Amino acid sequence: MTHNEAKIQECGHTGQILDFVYDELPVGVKGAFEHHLAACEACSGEVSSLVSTSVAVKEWRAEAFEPLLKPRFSIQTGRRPKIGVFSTILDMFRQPVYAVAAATLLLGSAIGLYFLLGSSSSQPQVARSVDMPAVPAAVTPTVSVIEQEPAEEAKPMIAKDERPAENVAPTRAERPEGARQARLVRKSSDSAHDRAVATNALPQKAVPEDLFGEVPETRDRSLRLTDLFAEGDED
Amino acid sequence: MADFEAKLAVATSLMFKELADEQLVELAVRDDPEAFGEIVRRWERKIFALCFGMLGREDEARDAAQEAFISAYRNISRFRGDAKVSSWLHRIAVNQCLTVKRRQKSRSEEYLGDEDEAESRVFVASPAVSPKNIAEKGERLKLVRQAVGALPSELREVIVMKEFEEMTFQEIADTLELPLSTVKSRLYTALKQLKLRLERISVEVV
Repeated sequence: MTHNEAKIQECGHTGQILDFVYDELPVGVKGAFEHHLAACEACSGEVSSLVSTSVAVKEWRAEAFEPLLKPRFSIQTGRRPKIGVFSTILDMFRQPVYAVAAATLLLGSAIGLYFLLGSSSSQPQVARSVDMPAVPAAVTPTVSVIEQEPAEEAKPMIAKDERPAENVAPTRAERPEGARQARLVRKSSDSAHDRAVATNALPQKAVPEDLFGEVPETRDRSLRLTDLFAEGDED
Repeated sequence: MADFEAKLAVATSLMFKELADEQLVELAVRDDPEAFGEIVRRWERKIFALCFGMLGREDEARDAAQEAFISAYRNISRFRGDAKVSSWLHRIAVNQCLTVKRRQKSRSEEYLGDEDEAESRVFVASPAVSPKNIAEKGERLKLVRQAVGALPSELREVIVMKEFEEMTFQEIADTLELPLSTVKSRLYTALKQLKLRLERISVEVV
């Protein structure tokens, strides 16, 4: 025990020193102890020694630990505000009543569409249109070109049975080589295709049914029409 | 549905805030992890502060605090109602820190190698402060950290609870389940030893 500690023991305020350093003395006792400190050199020295050590630890805490408690990033926990009509509608459909109503409407529309398509598929026009190629608009103008050939005669539409044999379109095997080549050229040439699209703007003429009479059904009607065009070239 | 769940979560959270620690532990024992989450939210800062004061390094303190909470959750069914939850958590955290310290001692040589690196991470330089002051302050704080770390664990835990967690003497006594006089005595001894160590280390450095 040092000389200073012995003096502190003598003055009988040992138990109050720590409480005073950490500000845990009751108010009345604190005032009395402050009076004692003013008179007692040993106690005031001890208090200053303890306070300086405590301050050093507090300083370490403030410098090293306090910055760790500051949030380095924030997490937004609330719902993000949604802006716009679409999000408002989307929010509306989150409610079960509206969601069920929308689902029913969609289902009803799907069923109606199914029956509508089913009933119209029995009509022959629709059936034939299903057989039509995927590019009818690009093909039909070639028909109008063919139609211009017999302009002076203005031939009536010939029934299938009355048609002369030379007008019958040859089958794929019977086609001349030139026609096949022309067909290939027609298929591969984009520019020709573009021209056909351009002529699509002209008023369409009705295509006689018997033009297709003898031609075997192919996947692409444009082939047949192009073949006819090739025949015209050969003539 | 999402709104309902969010409202339920808010209501549950508010309800948990009203409950005492012991009631939350009871709920957690009945397999309600959200109740234990509320305990963690309440005590994580204090437990982290305790671990930082005991260990002196951020990464180790975070790990120790996390381990302490995990250990508490695993052993929550063994919690006795006669002690405070805070005391129980503090004891677990102190034990965790002591375990870490023991591991450090066993590999002290490799640990000392990155002491300086840890110090350099701690201090943030202000442009208003001169490099000389920064160096002096950094050196002083390093000495304090070393001095606190060198205290015996029973003294260190008291001074850390007082200085880092700012607990009252009575709270420390309740937490450590010690008489009030013992707490004061330990704190007084800790401060005196710290003063001596700081003086000795500073003399050695100079």
